[in-house]
Amino acid sequence: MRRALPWAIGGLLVIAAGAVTAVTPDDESLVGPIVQRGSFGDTVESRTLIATASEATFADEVAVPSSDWSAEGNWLVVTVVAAAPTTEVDAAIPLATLVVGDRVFQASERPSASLIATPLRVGIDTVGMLAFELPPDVDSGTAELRLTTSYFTTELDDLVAIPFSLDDLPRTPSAELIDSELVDP
Amino acid sequence: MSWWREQRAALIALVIAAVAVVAATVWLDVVPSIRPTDRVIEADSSVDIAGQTLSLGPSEWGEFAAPEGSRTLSVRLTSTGGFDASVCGQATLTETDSSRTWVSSRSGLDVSYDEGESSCTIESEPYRILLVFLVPDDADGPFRLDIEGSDADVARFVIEP
Repeated sequence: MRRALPWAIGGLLVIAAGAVTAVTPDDESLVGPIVQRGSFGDTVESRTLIATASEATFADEVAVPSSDWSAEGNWLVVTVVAAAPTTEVDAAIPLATLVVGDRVFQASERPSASLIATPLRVGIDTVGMLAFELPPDVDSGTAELRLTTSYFTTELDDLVAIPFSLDDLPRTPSAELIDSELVDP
Repeated sequence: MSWWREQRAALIALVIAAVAVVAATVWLDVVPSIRPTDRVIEADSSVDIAGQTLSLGPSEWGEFAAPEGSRTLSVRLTSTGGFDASVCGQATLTETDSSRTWVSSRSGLDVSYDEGESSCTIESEPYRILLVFLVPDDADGPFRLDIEGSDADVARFVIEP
């Protein structure tokens, strides 16, 4: 009995160590974002951003009438209504990405009219457009719009994620991008 | 008791190691992460900040056209200017009840620059400052107006429009 006890305790300790290792979160989840996911058309609220993706359309060309600029390509134009929940200090969307499968596309900075980096207001909605310049083969499947108020990939902070299907989106020959503007609350 | 006496050297080493671990963590991790906090100067009507004296003037609702559902709150201040005057940081308006914070901004509003500077500036002569906040209709105040000075100073006024 006295000889068996240390072996039993040793075995229990090994099992306990294995259990602790198994339940320890991986590095990704230790520093990863806290995803606030919502449906297309619904309002999603995170710590620093309230956002609604209201419209999405493919376009063979996007144009900014105010700056006489246009560019052809496989564009996805998403209209987003956004506001800041509590403070206007540093309230903006400097980084918007579209995740399709394992590929991540960043909202284009080519058009001058874009919601990117537009100052957001508290209690007053701002509507603006995000234009993603995609490869020709990206026109179907599921995509996820990700919005953050940080310039960098979000770590240990809220990330607004809005999944939607690309299959049923309309396609227009040319889409006009308008400057971001305030809308009635 | 004899076991404690036998292990005395090991126990002392363990205590020293534990103290060293705590000290190293505090020195290398905790101390560098402590940020100096701003020094808030509560002001009734005037305050010395950024090398000049700011005096709070009248505040007014709806002086400028705003989108439906919102209105402007304009806050006027006067500055003495001065040879040591420097620019200020951001001016923010915080509703004391809800802690919602707005930033002074003239973008999208028809505000003439003849009305006054948008923040305190480098000026030796007295001049006027006009801060304009665009707030939703449901924000009634009272508010806290914070103006960041050149160092870690923040001037704080109470606004009850």
